[in-house]
Amino acid sequence: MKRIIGAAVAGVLAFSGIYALAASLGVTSNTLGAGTSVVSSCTANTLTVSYGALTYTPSVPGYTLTTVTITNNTPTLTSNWTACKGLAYKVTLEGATGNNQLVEATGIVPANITNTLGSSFTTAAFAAESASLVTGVAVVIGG
Amino acid sequence: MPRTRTLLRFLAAAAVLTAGTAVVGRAAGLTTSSHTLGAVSAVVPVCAAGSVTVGNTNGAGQISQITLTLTSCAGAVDTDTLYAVLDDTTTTSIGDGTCPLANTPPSCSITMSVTYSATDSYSLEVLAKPAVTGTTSSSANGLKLVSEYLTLRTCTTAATGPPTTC
Repeated sequence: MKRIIGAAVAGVLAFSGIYALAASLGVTSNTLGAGTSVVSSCTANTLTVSYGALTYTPSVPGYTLTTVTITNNTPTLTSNWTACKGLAYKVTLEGATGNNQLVEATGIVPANITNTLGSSFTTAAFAAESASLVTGVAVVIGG
Repeated sequence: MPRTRTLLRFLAAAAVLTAGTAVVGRAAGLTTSSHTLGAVSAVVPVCAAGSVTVGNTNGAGQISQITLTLTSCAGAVDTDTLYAVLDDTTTTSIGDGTCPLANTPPSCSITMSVTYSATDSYSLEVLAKPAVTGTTSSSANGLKLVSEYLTLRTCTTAATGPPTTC
């Protein structure tokens, strides 16, 4: 009987010790969440980049441009160009050496664009850039 | 002893289950969304080397006119405006001007004044921005972009006088 009582007391003490130890161990965690979602463009239309007036700039020297025009080149029936209204844009002119950035225009896609073929907007003016250096153009809309 | 071990295992399993449930609960409450974003780049097309024939009118050490003919350059056609800069890089003499293309193949002449020497080095820029486009590029997020021609040709000569082709 004494053995049983002794074993029971020992068990209770041991369990209490473990419980106390567990209770005193503080473990915390920062919140962590992970998820995925699809990133898509405001439009699947084909956009055409054309260039503003070329002006001779003696300090370059050469013909330079200061604006770019973005035009919807998708027929009206399938166009959703207006979904880009009010979104931020960046248009970057790139040069040949390692796709270096020559100049960049930023702004907001204006509210007056329509879904019609040929609807366009002209970017904000950027610093005069030599037209002969431009080998590529990059456009970002949204974000 | 076996009972104590069993009890401890039970408590440990319960603790793990509780913690796991909390994590799953937290993950289940996470929702994600994305603003629209389209990014794409396109090559600005230029004409092939040798597609522009360059003539010049010169006398008394001066080039008074250059004539540009787009022999195989699809980027510009009749009535498009051509821009050109001819630079004698040996003597720092530069001329520029514009002219409307005409005829087939399209051609036009620009009056200017640039030092002429058969042994100087020159650079020539021939530019146009006609309504002719290159190849359409597409991005993974669905935006498609194409660029009109801008620089038709840029070429240089080294100690051989003004260019005859570009």
